[in-house]
Amino acid sequence: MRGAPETMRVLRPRSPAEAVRLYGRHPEALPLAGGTDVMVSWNAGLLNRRTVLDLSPLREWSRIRRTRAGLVVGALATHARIRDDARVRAAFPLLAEAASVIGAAAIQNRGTLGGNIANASPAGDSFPPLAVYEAVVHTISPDGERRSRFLNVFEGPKATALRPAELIAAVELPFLPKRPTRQIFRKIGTRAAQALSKTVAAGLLWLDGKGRVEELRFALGAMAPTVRRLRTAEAFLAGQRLTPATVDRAVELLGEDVAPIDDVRSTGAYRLAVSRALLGGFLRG
Amino acid sequence: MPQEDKAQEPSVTFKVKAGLPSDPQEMEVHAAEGDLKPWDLESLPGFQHMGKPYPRFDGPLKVTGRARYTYDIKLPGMLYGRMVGATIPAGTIVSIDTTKAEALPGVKAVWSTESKKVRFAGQDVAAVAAVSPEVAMDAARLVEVTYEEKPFIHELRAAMEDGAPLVFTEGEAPGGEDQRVRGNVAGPRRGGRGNVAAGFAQAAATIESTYYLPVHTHSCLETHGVVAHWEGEQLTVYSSTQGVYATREGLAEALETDRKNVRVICEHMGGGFGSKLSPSATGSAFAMVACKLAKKAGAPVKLMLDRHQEQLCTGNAPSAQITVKIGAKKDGTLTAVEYTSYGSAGVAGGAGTAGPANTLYANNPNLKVEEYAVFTNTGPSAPLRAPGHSQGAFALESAMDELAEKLGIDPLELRKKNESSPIRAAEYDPGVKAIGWERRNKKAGDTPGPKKRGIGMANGNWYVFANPNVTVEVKIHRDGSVELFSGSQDIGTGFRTAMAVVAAEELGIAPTDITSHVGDTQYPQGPSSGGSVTTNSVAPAVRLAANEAKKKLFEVAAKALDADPGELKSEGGKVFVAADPARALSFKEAASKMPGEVIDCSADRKTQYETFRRDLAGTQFAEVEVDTETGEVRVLKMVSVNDCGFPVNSLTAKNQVIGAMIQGVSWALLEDRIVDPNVGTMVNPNLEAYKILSPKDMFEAESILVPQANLGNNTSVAGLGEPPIVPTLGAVANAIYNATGARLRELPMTPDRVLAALAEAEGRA
Repeated sequence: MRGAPETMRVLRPRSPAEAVRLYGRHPEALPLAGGTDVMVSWNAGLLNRRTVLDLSPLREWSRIRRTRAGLVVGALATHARIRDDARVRAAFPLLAEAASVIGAAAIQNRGTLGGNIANASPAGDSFPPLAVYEAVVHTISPDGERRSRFLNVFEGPKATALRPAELIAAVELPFLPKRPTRQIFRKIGTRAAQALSKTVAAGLLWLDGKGRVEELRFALGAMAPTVRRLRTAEAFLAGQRLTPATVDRAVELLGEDVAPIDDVRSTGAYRLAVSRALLGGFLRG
Repeated sequence: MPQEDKAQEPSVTFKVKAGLPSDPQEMEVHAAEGDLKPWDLESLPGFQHMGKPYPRFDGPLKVTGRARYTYDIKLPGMLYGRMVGATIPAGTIVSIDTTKAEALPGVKAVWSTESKKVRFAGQDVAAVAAVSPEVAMDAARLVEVTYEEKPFIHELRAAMEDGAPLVFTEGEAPGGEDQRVRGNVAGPRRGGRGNVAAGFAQAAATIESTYYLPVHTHSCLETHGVVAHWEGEQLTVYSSTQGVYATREGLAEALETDRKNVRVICEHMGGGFGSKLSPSATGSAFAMVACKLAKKAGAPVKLMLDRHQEQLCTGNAPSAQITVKIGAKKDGTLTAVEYTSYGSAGVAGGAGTAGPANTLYANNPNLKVEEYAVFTNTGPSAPLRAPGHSQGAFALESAMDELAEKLGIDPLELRKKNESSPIRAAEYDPGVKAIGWERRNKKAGDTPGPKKRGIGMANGNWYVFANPNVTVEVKIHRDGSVELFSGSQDIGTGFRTAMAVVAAEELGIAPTDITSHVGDTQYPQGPSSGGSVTTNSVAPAVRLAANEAKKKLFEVAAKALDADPGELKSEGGKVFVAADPARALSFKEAASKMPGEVIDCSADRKTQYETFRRDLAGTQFAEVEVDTETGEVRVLKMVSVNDCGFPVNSLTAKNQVIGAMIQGVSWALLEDRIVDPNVGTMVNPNLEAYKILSPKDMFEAESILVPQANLGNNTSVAGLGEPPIVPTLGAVANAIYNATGARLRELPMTPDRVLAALAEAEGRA
């Protein structure tokens, strides 16, 4: 059994408004953005007899706009577009970097930011940057528009808090109040391309004039059912100097916010050890 | 290995300049009647085409998608076949019910096995042929098989334990009756020389380590498969194979028909690496089944395995647990080597790994070798690019590095000190220069920061094998166009291009003036491509056939030039009087003088004769960067120095070397067949969870070829496909050690293993 198109129905809206209307009438439909996950299921025959809501023609949702407060990245903006966008690279370099290591060139050309979020893989590579940039997700449904904090969108592996017939329209990235003192993005995969992450990290650190931590934001993917911010370590370090003792303590506290598992790609022990090494290395500078 | 010689009495003696260009040696060789004086070191400077770089003829076809692979064959009315494999690793088939499958609309034929015993998951059980791949897949799912399950054993080390479930009952194990089998362990096969106990007694330093390598799969990009087409009694089989003649022989026998009724064609193929030497595969008879389905259905059947089946039943490289003990004097001179290998080829034998131990450092007087085969309920192995040698060299060459560390000697100096091959002795310096050996850490791991770089090396060996049962046909047409025909197949090595280079050298025209026809049993017989024999088995016959054709052309041209045929020479597209090059005809003009339509010459290959060395040397260097925080290893550069006699086409020859290093690095860092210990099936039977190296992981790869003569045939050519993968695993492991001070004795060298080894090294320090 493979994908049997004759058993499927494809809805092709011509505008975002029509997409919302159609989804309202067919809440059972599966939204299709870049298709990099949907087509895998299709090929395995898992979508036969399903209805697909094809969002790919909606140019309005593929743009990246600048506002006074930040950038608004359309849900259908591809990873390649985000990777290459000068504004994203200047203000949100960690996101641009994440976009450049998702899958490989073909995936980056097709895959979209909104699709990545809706798919809600625990290992989504764009998620740690979005978490530390404290992105806001714009959604729309027949009931109206909503804005959600990025981390609140996820409920578990492959599960989101999106409501029935609700589509992601855009992701808003608020400009940082000032340049971070240090920043990091790291993906650890099995190989350099086309490999899901064993762990993926993003971090922003602001130090004041006296070397005290003004703010730390650190997020990890593939370390828990959903992407996680290290709230405990972040809170502990606020106002502290980065001494060997405080760094060690923060590294220890990492375990409070994540719980990695063993799977075919790696072991929980490896994931934990490496995430700790990444956080420790980042804090030590 | 194809080493049998035809009964040709040697009758011509040639004096040749053999060995390395830097050190020519007089050598006498005894060739068969009618053979040509071999190209030797004196021929080398005068070559017009041999050894120069020529893009492969099939390159444009392949990059534009026009090359026709077996997968691309589509015949009118063709059906699609699909194998059904056993879902359990051990037991008995109680019944196979194909009624539902047969009843499915679109199903045209079914087949089921008569064999009752199941010894690995994926073993052939049944097959279907239907009007589309989708219907065939649905039908395959409708085949109902009832099993009586038995306990199974999934892995080498577990299979060696007392009380492990037995894969074979007494007398059933492959490998002959005279071998000793205890539990799942057969052997040992013994080898060696001298007295190791006495040797170790003389040693100033001794090391002993155990190394482990998991099963590695061939992962050919084109899966195994055939298209079988009957027209009356005539059967045409398009096959993704390394041996069209061997496939014909195997199928004719299995189908009980004459060989003359069977034609096998392989125009292009997407990788074999040793797994496509059988008519079908080591763990499946799919080709024979496809032929039977086609006969039953009265229509052509295409049967390509899918990736899952490919991973289970088309072979793999055996896993191995190898213990190496080496003793040496203070100055590094080896006094004894003890080598014990337990390999698992699944349900097959042939898990030996001692080739390198038996061949390298032959000056060491005391060697003891024991090789055991351990059976597991997993698919049978198949030869994989220098079978067993990569595993063996990983262990031996890691151990040599450990010895060097213990003695406080540079690992390069230790190897030079014990070198027994004059060829490899000459290979070290070019390699050392290319990698920048002096940049390595004097003390392992002695670099600041979390990202550490290091350089390592390892040696490898292979042999000069040749198959003398070869015929080649060369045609010069009246319009000057030239064709050559060989039944051997181009498995991606650039064989068809290389043969044109040899013919061009002999005929004095350009390789691109020649069209090579290969990979078809309608053409003269040629060997299977295994053991690195194709080029050096066929090239001497190409030269002979081209020489015959040239002589006939000279007879024709001599009249027009008013000269004696013996006075003529051909070079640069011209036929001319050697003493007076102004008296010339173009090759085309000469051909136009022929009385008939075509000069058509066939020649048999002559017997292989004495070689300067029977073994092929090789040494390799690797530079790596290890992130000590994450355990990630990145190979930055590899240099391989190899000998293959005279390279025919330096471009495709270097391409083979670079390809072998890529496959080796992939093996060293990534590849690992994981079998579920609870159910005995492969956990990663795909390319998503069974990862191979990606283009983004690619490193700088350099191939240095050291020419040498004489390799026992008139072209002085030897094979190169296999040898360059042999040292790669060890070179990478030794480079990681040099970078970090962490010794990895188990493959693949994944980040978690690197971190564990680092922790162990820190604990020692």
